[in-house]
Amino acid sequence: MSYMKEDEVYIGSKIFFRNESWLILAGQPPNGCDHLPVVEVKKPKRQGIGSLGSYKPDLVVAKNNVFLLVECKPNYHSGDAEKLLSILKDSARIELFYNEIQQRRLFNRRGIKVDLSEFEAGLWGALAHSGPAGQEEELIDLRVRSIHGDAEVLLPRNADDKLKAVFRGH
Amino acid sequence: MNLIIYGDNKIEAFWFRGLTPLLNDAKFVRIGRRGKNHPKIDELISYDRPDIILTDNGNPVLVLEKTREVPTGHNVGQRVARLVRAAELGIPVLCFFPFDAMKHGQYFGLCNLNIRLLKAFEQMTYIHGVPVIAVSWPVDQYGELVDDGSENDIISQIVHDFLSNGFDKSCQGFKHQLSYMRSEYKKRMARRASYEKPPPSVIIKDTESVISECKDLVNGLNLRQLAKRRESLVYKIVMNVKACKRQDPYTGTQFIYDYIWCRTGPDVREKSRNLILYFPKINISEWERLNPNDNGSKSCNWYLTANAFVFRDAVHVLRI
Repeated sequence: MSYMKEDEVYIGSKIFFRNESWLILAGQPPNGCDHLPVVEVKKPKRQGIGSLGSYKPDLVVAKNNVFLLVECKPNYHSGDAEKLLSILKDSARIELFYNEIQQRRLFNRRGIKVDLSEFEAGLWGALAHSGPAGQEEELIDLRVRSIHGDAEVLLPRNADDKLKAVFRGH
Repeated sequence: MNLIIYGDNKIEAFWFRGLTPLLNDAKFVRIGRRGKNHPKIDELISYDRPDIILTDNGNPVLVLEKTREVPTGHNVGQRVARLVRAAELGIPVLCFFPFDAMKHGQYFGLCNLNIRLLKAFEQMTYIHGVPVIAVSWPVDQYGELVDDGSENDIISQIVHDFLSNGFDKSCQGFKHQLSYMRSEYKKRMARRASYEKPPPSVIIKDTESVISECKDLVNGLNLRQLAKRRESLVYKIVMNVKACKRQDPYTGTQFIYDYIWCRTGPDVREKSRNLILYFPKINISEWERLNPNDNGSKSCNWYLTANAFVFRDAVHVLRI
């Protein structure tokens, strides 16, 4: 089986979310530059300059105050799953991430009103890839079929009503 | 036209293709490793890989760089070597980056372009007779990069004008932007005149005094060959051995200083001053082990334009 390349998964994911009326807040494409702002999820207590230990999500998207950190890879990547889960379970990192988005005025620019607690409650991780789909316990599985935004969504087993609502129809 | 967009990824290539309808039918080809591409592409990436190369019937006609980073601090020289290569080969260059933009994080604040880069671009344009052009990525009132699509308006016009005029290097779009760069340079220089002088890491001095200071080093007297130029520009690069197996940003920055204060012609030997790279913390044997002049590696970029290296223990004259 041949997989899409990482940049193709990125483009396909972005178009999928756009077509589904998600707001694209930020992104860091693989090996390149997009028009999107690049945001970091910093590591608490990091001293000095630079980005050591910080994480730059491939995409950050939002809809109805559900927020997704999206990682794009040709195939399912367990390392990405671990990385996303470790962030999503770390309130200090989520607060730093929220502050970074505020500092960049991204909520304002996209007309989003959300406080930290609502942001944390609405934050999920998504694995975008072109490999076989598989349901996760806590992460969204986005199987990207083409660069034009064709994709299949598998919600996590622990999806709440709000998450199910924004993906209704998938 | 038979256009191909070469690049490392489709994200930038598709963005580029969207700049003008004239690129609608352009195909995308990934740039391969050195030696694995069409010879004209390999020739162009021999120093470093640009973001975008546009070819027409197999001939490169335009090189483009795109970055969200303001060229300042260590960022300023990082991409210059690849642009120099394009200019050497007579291929116009467009660089799309913000001239001023907000830096985030702990050291939050507005970053401004190091305008020595605009001066170097102007000199490259003059010396190689090919436009090397900077186009500013606009920002909003808060210094945040505009990302609603309107940020592409100016670069779209320039690319469209160049293509619709049969790849004319003298097209109005290029001329107008070069004029804008000159006016920006003057305006910004008036605010910070110190940028007209070299930075603290650079000293321009009599070549005789450089020779005298180095005479006790191994091969130190070889520097005498450089005495035909009265002055030398000495660029002090304070790396230790552990950190010296690298190129960025120094190999690009050396070109900035070369074009502004040394170069007089397209050949690297055409200089009014010698360009000397000074590594006060590194011995020559360590250097040769870690940064060989190997065409298969970016370390060859160290050897592209300097006249000599001065190490802690020795001198290496590259060209006179």
